[in-house]
Amino acid sequence: MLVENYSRAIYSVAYNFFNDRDTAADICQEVFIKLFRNLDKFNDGENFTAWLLAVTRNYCIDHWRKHYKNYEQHQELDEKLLPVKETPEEGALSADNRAYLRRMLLKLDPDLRYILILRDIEELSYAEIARKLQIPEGTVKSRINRARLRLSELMVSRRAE
Amino acid sequence: MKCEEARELFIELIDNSLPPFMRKDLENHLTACAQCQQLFENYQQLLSELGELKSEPPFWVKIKLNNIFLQLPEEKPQRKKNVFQILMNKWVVAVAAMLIVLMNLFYFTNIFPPANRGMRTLLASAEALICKAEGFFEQVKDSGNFIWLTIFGKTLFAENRFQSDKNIDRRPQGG
Repeated sequence: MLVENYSRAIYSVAYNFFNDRDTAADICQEVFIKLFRNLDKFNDGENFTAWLLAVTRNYCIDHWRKHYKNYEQHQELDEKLLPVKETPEEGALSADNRAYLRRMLLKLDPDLRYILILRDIEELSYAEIARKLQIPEGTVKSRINRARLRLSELMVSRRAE
Repeated sequence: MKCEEARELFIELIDNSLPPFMRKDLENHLTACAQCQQLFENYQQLLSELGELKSEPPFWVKIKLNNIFLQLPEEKPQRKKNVFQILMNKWVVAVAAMLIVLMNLFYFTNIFPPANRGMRTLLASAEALICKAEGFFEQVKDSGNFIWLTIFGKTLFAENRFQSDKNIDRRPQGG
């Protein structure tokens, strides 16, 4: 039941955060292990979701800092050498564009990226994000705007090609 | 309006939460500045594209997650320590070992004569006690009469008193 209700959101956030299915699966596993160990501490759903998102954020950012520290340096090379990982999602966006967008997401600062994923991919409201991450709504909005602007600038160069 | 100020308001323009006069200013800026206009177009396009990045976990991830609960080790309740465990901590063992070493040192060497005499007296008393006990148990075994137990108790008490009297009287043999 818990896995059915929450695994999609956690996996989606982690996958878009790292652009890597294996890392996303590992993050999901870590979050659920922590969840099962602390299950008795939660009574209401609101606190539970907030806790879950905060834990996911911490795991994502910690993992990023530990293992992807030099990501920027290698990214240019990887973009030229590695083939695009095809994903099974369907939609108007081509697989190539989706993969490119995910790679551009990786160029954002981890905090900005996480908040952008919550708003524009997981479609949470500003108020929900503010409540769940315990930061003011104004900060949420300014971070989202900064993330979108940075991403738009990166996409301008792509569309100009 | 400067480009930087205009870009900070993009989010409000998208959410339709700008006051009318600011909206007018921003729209005027976008008409005049080609760079900001292109950026805003990208900004809008980006929102629809990001919405498509939502993804479902593959089946193997769900199986893995469902199995976590079964694989978690049960937390063992902390057992209370019994008396032996409390006594057998490293400090007790260290003190006991030190005592044994000192007793051996005092018994086999004469570096501290009063201690050496004390140790020898102690050992003699222990030997006498063991001999008496041995004799007593032999007698009990032969007779099968437990009245000997009382007699032994009395004898032991008298002998110990005799021994301690002898210890007081004994003087160290000088040089």
